[in-house]
Amino acid sequence: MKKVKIMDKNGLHARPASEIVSIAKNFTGEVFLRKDGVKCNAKSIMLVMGLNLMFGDMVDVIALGDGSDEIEAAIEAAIQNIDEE
Amino acid sequence: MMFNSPKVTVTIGSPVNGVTVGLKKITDPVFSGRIIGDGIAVLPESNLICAPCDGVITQIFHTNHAFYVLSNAGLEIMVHIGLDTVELKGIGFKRLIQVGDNVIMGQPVMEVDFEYIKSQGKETVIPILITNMEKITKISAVNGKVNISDKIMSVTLK
Repeated sequence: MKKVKIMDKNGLHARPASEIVSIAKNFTGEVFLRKDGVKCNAKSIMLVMGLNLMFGDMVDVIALGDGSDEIEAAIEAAIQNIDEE
Repeated sequence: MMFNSPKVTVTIGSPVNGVTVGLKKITDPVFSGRIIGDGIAVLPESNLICAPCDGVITQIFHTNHAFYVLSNAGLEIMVHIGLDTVELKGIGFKRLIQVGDNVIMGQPVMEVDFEYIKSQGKETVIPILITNMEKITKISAVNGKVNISDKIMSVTLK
């Protein structure tokens, strides 16, 4: 499990959420995001955006299965790859 | 003997008066690349964004620029109002319903000040996407001018 801080000033909106979902969908095991005890399937963009993660929020990234460490690291990198305009 | 149960086809209605735009013409690669899902966009000519089908409003992003409807047939539909409009931090968007509300096709969900959005240099085009594509076999989109609830897509479920 990794704890990741949302550093994008716009929060986890469609663009970063879509990267997370793409990475998660390529993983055969289960992947979740969790905020304040609410856990969601990271393969569903509706549920990921539904966490309404905002700038400064902490989110738990949880992957289960072979390769889970790599997937958690990839999702952490996607979250921290800030969308600066 | 094998037989196929008839496939369900859902009609998705335009959320707004306007003109359809194919996703590949959208300047944001998240939509033109069909990364989140497939569908169509509408360039709006009116200010009320309405439900594209009967269902439940399952999520509204906190800046009100995007919302999801779970249709009664099980489709997850994202309506994303404008491009990069998350940066407006909610200004220009007024929520008319709440998360968890049941809606019918054509019911107003969001009131939008598109003049303000344009004044901030943002595009107003509205992608409407099916985000649970694994449940779909086919999407057929229409082209042209549409009014609220005119068909913009037919979606066939597996």
